Amino acid sequence: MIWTPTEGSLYKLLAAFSPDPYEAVQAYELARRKLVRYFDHHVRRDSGWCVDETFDRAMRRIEEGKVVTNLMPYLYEIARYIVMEIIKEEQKMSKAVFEIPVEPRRTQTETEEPNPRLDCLDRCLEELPPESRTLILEYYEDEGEAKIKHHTAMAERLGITMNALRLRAHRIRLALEACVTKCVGQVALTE
Amino acid sequence: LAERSEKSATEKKYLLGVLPAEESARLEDQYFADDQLFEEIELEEDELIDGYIRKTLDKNDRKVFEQAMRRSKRLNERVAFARVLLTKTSKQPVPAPLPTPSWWASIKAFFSGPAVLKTALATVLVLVVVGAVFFTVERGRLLQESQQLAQQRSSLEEQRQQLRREINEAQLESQSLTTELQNQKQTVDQLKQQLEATEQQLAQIKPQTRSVLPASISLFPAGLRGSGDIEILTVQPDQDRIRLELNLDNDEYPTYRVSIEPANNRGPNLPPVRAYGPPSQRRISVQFRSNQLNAGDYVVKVNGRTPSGDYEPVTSYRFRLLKK
Repeated sequence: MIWTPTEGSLYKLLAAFSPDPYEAVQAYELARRKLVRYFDHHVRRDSGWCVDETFDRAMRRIEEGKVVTNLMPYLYEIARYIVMEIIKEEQKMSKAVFEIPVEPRRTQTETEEPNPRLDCLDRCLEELPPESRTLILEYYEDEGEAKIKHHTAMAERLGITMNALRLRAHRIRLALEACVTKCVGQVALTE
Repeated sequence: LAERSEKSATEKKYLLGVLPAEESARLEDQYFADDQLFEEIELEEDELIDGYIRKTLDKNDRKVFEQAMRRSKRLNERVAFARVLLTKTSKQPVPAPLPTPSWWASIKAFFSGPAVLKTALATVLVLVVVGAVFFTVERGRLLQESQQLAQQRSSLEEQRQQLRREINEAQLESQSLTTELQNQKQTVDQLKQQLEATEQQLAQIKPQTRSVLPASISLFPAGLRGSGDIEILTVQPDQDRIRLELNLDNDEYPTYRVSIEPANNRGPNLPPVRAYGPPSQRRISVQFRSNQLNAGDYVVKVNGRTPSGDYEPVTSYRFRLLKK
């Protein structure tokens, strides 16, 4: 019988990350990002599918009663198994079919079509808190030496270190990127 | 700095897919255990992507990065996002990507070479076409299988999305309930505070409302009236407090101390008081419990506080207390 995740199994997984729901969701998102990068590095298959598979297996084991004290290493272990499985599968396939090179994807700016990403970016920027919006727009304004000077001035103004500023900008960028990806997906669905 | 720079170079190699497998595995072990390191790697990737878009990557890195992009849908998505972000934020125009030649343009270029090459390339092309026919047939079969799998996956994916939506809704509901609970808690706290304040006010008011007005008398300094004159203060049985209004000739001291003799030793311990009233009618007022004095004659002495902090005699009053 095929096992499918339920609401209960997902709650158990989140609880294994942390008893605090907010921290659990944060940890879940971070684990997802780590797994996406890991699979992206090792296999050509859609990393989203691989990540879901990793979480599914973890959820199943937890539901079966496995006690996981530290979830991140456990997920990493599952991910390594999945990569091995996929590589084996790909080796079998490569004997039958020769490899098809992946075409470099044409980015929107290469075409004359309107770019939904730009509209989505505008929409997502609007959704950001004003201070985050100002920070991200200002952070990427300049290039080269001007950029370094500007970042130093920004860090001084905000009373934080340059590294903290980099991290803050990066986190806003990630949130913005996730929002734009979601928005572009919705636009594609409605078209 | 040197250590950071070395780490950064390793992370960059990893991201470009040119780090040896063993080192890659070590780095992966580390970033799964260390969130901070993972964020550093993400930051490094942001910088690589921005460098690629702004064309500031060196030729070799650029080439390797493009190879990595060919392998990774995620990286393509990230580059597409970074391009719009930098277009939106940058003061300088972001360079457009080099146009990828169309397949037709590539074929035209292919046949515009020297004659020997043309023959050789045409042979290769024939082989490719034959191979392509075989491949198409085989691919059709595989496609059919993969469509079936895709259908299964899509239904599972739908189920997963549904679950996610339900979880999100449940979380939102839980947040809203938490907020409501907090609001209610605040309201209860406010009401409790109001209740306490009201009870305190009530406690202050109650004794006053319970008892009748104090037995009062307005006294003038001794000697102002004839020696036979003595003011009489009559205390009714239900009057539990006495108030003395002591009129002053001059108000020259900031505070005054009042003592009552001969009963002062066991009489009321009166705190320092200030004078009040219009300039022509300055007076001080003291109040105490009526059971602190027995019936009899009393002298009220008033002392004023000097700038040095000592008290000096100011005036005195006399009265007779009658109890009914």
